[in-house]
Amino acid sequence: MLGAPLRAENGSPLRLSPGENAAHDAPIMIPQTIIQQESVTDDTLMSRVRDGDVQALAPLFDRHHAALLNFYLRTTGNRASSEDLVQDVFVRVLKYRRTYRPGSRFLTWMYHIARHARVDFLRKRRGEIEWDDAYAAPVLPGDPAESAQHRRCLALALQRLPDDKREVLVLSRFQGLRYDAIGQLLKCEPGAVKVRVHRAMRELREHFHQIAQGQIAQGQIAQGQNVKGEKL
Amino acid sequence: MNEQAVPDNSCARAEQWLPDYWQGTLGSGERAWVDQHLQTCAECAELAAFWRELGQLPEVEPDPRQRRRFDAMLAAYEATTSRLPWSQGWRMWLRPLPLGFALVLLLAGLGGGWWLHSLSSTALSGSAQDQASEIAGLREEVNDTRQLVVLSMLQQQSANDRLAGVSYSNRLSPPDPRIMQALLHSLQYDPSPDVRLAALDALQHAGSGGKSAPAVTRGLVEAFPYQKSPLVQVALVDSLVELRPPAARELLQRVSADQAYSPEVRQRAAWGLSRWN
Repeated sequence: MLGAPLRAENGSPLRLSPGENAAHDAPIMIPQTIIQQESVTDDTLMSRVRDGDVQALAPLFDRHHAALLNFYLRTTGNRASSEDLVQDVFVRVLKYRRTYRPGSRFLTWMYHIARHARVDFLRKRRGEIEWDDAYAAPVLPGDPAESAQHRRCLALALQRLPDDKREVLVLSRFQGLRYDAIGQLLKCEPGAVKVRVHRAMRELREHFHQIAQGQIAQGQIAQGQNVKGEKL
Repeated sequence: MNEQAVPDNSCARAEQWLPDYWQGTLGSGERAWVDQHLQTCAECAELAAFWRELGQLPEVEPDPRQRRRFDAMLAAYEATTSRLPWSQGWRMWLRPLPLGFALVLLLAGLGGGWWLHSLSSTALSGSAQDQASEIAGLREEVNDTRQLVVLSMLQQQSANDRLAGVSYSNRLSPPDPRIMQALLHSLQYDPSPDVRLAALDALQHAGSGGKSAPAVTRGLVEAFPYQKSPLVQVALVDSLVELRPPAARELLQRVSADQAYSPEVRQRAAWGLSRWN
């Protein structure tokens, strides 16, 4: 699996072709080791970590910490806690590195650790999740108000799902895990994962409509109308 | 793709195929069928639209400070592990003999237990009370043997064997004070941060309840000044915040203000104090 594209400090993707760089920008010098690491598989890197080359963990962190952060944001709802959990995952990867079996799927193994870290986190919080409102209302620059409202309802509907349904949906939709890999994580058959995903989607739809109707009703009350849109 | 029987009802069939359709793993014929179904079924089409829109929810960009935090953790880990004396090759030759001794003890204990058990089962003529006392004695003996094995493993040259000893200690029930003392000793003096972290996990479990909990939590507070590895220090802060022995609060205040500790550790101690209130 290839990692995320290399990015310059300002966040724009780096172009590795010398011809393209020469036309507009000063050429960006990229250490050869970094380019080589981009083509190395996760499994190879983790096997090196397992054998004591802990520096090989750095490219794995670069590849996966953003996805892990978003996984935790969508399943724990709080940025500070999510950042702590991402660090915790990589500490645990070092701690349990000898349990990694070379040739297995690193991503599945990493999410196995990530789920355990999350379970410990929720146990300490006694299962209570404090959703960060700033994260629950994602607004993109130049977004029409209707789209922003729709997206907000969708994000809120995702929050309202029971924890197990939200997790399976996040793993399959956002984290790019196939159903067989999720089945390994949840210790069930891929067919059972698909059923859970479909049920989660149906429940998401119910929550979405409840939230959307509630917000429409609130808007109408604010404008002095009843639920049918008639003037009060 | 799907070898299961496909239901006749078109929505039930769609329900079976939609998850694969969403992940793009459906065969072309089935995919064409789902496309056609979505043209005619508003409910399934709405689900498919929600799936698509979920993918448009924005991703959060990580804070660059997180990479620096990771680098600090990695550097601390390397610094501690590179000083380990047991990593030198010739010491590995010492492994088989003491570990073999521990295994001999374990086998002797199990064999003795089996022998005593066979004695107790053949002595049917004895009273039920005699049998019960023999079985209780047998259990005690097996437990004593296990404790001996754990204590022996915790003193091995190899960090892997000491780790195995810590892991084996979790199987002793109830936790024995001698084992707790040995684990506290490992937490304070073991050269391997891995063993210290494993000992801390085992102690935290014992410190959360039972007779030995007060002694264990006091031991955790006393073990803090012996830690050099920021990894272990941070893990110890987390354990103290979890168990909350009274003396830990003062310790965390001191650590959070002491420049001798790394910024990571000071921040974690400050975080612990904020959780305390």
